[in-house]
Amino acid sequence: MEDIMNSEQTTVELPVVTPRAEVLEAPTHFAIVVEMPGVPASSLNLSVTGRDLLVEGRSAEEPSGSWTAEEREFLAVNYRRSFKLPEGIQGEKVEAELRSGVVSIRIPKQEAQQPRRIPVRVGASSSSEVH
Amino acid sequence: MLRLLTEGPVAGGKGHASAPAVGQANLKLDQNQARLVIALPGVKADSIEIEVQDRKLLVRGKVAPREVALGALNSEHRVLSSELAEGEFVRIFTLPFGVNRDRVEAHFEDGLLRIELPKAETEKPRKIEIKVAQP
Repeated sequence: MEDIMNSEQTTVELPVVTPRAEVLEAPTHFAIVVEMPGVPASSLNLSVTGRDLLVEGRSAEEPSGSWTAEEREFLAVNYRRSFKLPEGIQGEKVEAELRSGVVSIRIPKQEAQQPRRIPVRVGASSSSEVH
Repeated sequence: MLRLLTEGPVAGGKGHASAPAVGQANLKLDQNQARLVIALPGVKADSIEIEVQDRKLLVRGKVAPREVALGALNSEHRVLSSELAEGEFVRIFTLPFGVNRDRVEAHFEDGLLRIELPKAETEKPRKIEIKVAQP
């Protein structure tokens, strides 16, 4: 029988909050920067469904101790935010990295959307043809 | 209730939780030590400075989430929209006791700065030996 009271399975319900973010564009890709302080890489989840990008993360548990007083300005939270990606991106090539509580997400554009260098041919003797 | 953190930034949003912002802090205390956890997402790890003097604790750092996240690629990016703060961060905390400066430890991980602050020996209660007069 499944032990529904198994304490290892229970997780404390944390408040769900919207993390702050920044969206950037480069010639070859879009980038999204999301602030998620307190989230270890193991608790960070990203998923792309069509043009929807979902970013989720959970604050790590604070190690407990025998404290006699406490004052809090921020809480352990569940971060959750979804982004609507623009058309012409390669959803299957989205990459993410976590550094100092900040997630950077790289969303490559499709080749056709990227700027293409046009080679300029120099006429070898254009001036000499003018008479 | 303790009133140790009143001079700093205030958590946004009334009645419901919001994402921890740069500089917000949690403080825990017991008889011998304090633990201060400060949210510093997007702060450059090598820019963080901590100064301790008696009861005062100063923390400063450079807030640069874009630089932290994107590194050198920074310049080719055009910002389309942003909610992230950047600049210089400074905050001074006043603790309820003097701190043993030599034993302060700090760790920066996942955008949280954790500072362990042991109470100064001079502030700890000292057992006074009672001399009993010989009969």
